[in-house]
Amino acid sequence: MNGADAIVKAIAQEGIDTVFGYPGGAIMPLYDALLQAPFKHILMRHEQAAALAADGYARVRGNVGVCLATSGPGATNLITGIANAFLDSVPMVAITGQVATPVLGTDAFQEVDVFGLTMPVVKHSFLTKTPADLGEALAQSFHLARSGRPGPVVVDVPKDVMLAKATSHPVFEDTSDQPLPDPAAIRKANQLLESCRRPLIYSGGGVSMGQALSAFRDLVARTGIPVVTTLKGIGNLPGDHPLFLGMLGMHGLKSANLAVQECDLLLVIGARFDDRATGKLAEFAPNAAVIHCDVDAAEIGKLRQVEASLTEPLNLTLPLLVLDPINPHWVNRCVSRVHAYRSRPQTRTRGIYAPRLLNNLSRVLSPEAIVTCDVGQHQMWVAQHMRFARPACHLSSGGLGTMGYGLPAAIGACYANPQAPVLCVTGDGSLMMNIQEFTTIVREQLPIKILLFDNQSLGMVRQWQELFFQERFSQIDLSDNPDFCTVALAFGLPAMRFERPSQEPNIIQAITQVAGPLLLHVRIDPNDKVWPLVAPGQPNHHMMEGVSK
Amino acid sequence: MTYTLQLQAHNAHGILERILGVIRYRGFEIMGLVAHLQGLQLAITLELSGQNQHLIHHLRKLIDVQFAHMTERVSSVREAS
Ligand SMILES: Cc1ncc(C[n+]2csc(CCOP(=O)(O)OP(=O)(O)O)c2C)c(N)n1
Repeated sequence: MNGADAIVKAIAQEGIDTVFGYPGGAIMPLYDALLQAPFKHILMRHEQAAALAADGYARVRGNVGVCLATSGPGATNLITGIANAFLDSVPMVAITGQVATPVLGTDAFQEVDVFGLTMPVVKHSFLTKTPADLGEALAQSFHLARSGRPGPVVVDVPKDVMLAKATSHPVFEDTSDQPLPDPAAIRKANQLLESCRRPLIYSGGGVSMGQALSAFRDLVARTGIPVVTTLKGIGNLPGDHPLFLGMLGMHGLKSANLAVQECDLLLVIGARFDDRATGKLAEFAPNAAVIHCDVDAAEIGKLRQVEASLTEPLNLTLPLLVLDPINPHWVNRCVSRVHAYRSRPQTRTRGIYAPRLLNNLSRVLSPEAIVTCDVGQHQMWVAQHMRFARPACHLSSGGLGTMGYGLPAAIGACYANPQAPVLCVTGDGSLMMNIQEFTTIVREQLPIKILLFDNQSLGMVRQWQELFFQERFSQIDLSDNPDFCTVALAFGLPAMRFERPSQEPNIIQAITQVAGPLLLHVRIDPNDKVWPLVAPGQPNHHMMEGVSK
Repeated sequence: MTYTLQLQAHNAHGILERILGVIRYRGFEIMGLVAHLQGLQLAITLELSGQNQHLIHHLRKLIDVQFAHMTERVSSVREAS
């Protein structure tokens, strides 16, 4: 068995059934070994898409996503996807071929310092200069990617090490005891809960990344505390749950933002006070004591001083929190506002109105459906107007905000859960960032529906230029877009075109009833905006609301 | 105020660069550095104002860092025990 075979074996042992990649010179031994692999390799058409597909796979499967690329340009193309996984705490192992050890450090053909380039955006990384190094890296990397706060691990493997006889290395098994919650911290947290009048849960992606969804839902059911979520926390409670007040932050629901501003106790669970969530930090939750539960101790007190903190896994800490009974007046106050503020679709737009369409679509989609987004206005409309049963049903690039995420993430999602319907909601700017993956979808006949909202502009940037740069529109015009339906057809991808509001039911019907892959090209008005909105530098309770021109 | 950061780490590939990278990214300027590269031990002098505990937590997250501690008074590298 050589090093390349050992890599294949390690991936197979992790129960990973699909990896995503792109071959090249330095990684050829691994591609040779893949011919005998018990798992599938999906040939993407850009390494960035391979990394983002692995990210989508990981989020849906709850396992590590694996991507492969060759040295030099292959590896540099992966970096955006690795950074995306880093900022959203997604478990990933990226394996890159490297030039052979005798020429390492000589600027050999397609040599770049992958170990150095990726260092700031990985949880950990290895450059395996010997078979022993490779054995150790393979034994550890999957565990490292998955454990604690998950994240990407890079394994950079010189070509000669892939060809050399492998040294066997036992897979790392975590035999250490789970850290037990600190009784004093639990006591402190429960005292705060007992003495508060207006408690609120602010929850994020850490709930699902920490595999703690049932512990979380159980806590909400036991205590009756209302819940707001971050973008990544959407689905922590089912979208129609009575205690779900909505997403908080810049494009959040006003009922969520007002609850945060009024609460006297903020129970933060798997969230990190990101600026898109908090608005002006100094005025965020100004009356609240904070209990922060997060496995990453470095997040505690990073942006907001806390009164109590619990850094053990959520599955261990959440069951120990108690509140009895909850103040019903506070709950009523929070809950009664949800309906009033549910951003009502505005009917003054001229064309098809994306928020209304997404809202209606969401009512008929299977609860198992997985929706991936790109980045921009359409991404916020999905977050605001669709309901999700679980976080793994809503894949959105939160921390990095990566345009181009949606299509590859949808591909990854298809392999992670082949039974689930998969919808990619995208914009005309974002789609072009990874449009080459139409080929992958067609080749594999993945039944992905691509809902393209075409406003002939970089809509989110346009919105900001209009609102905050005195309508000085700069470099946002995409009116020379290609005819997307013709492009899709050239790839062999069926496509349909829609431009009239009366066609909204037909769009929904096509998404839910067409069997194979499909592009739905939907023309929308470039003046449609994402409302409400907290302007930069403002506190979250100052929300701008508006109607389309 | 001047602080000394005491660190002990596995001398794994690139560990020094990793540690220095975290300190730079988190916004700290290094004023002085004493290193013993066997069973890597470092004493790094930093100029800080106010809150500094985060840096320690971020450094402890590095897989190969075994020990990280910050003291207000400048001191030299601890002898290996
Ligand atoms: C790779 C990348 N480049 C630039 C940006 C900045 N950006 C954020 S939203 C946006 C516009 C997105 O346009 P589109 O995909 O058409 O979506 P829309 O806002 O129109 O719905 C841009 C350029 C980004 N997030 N990612």
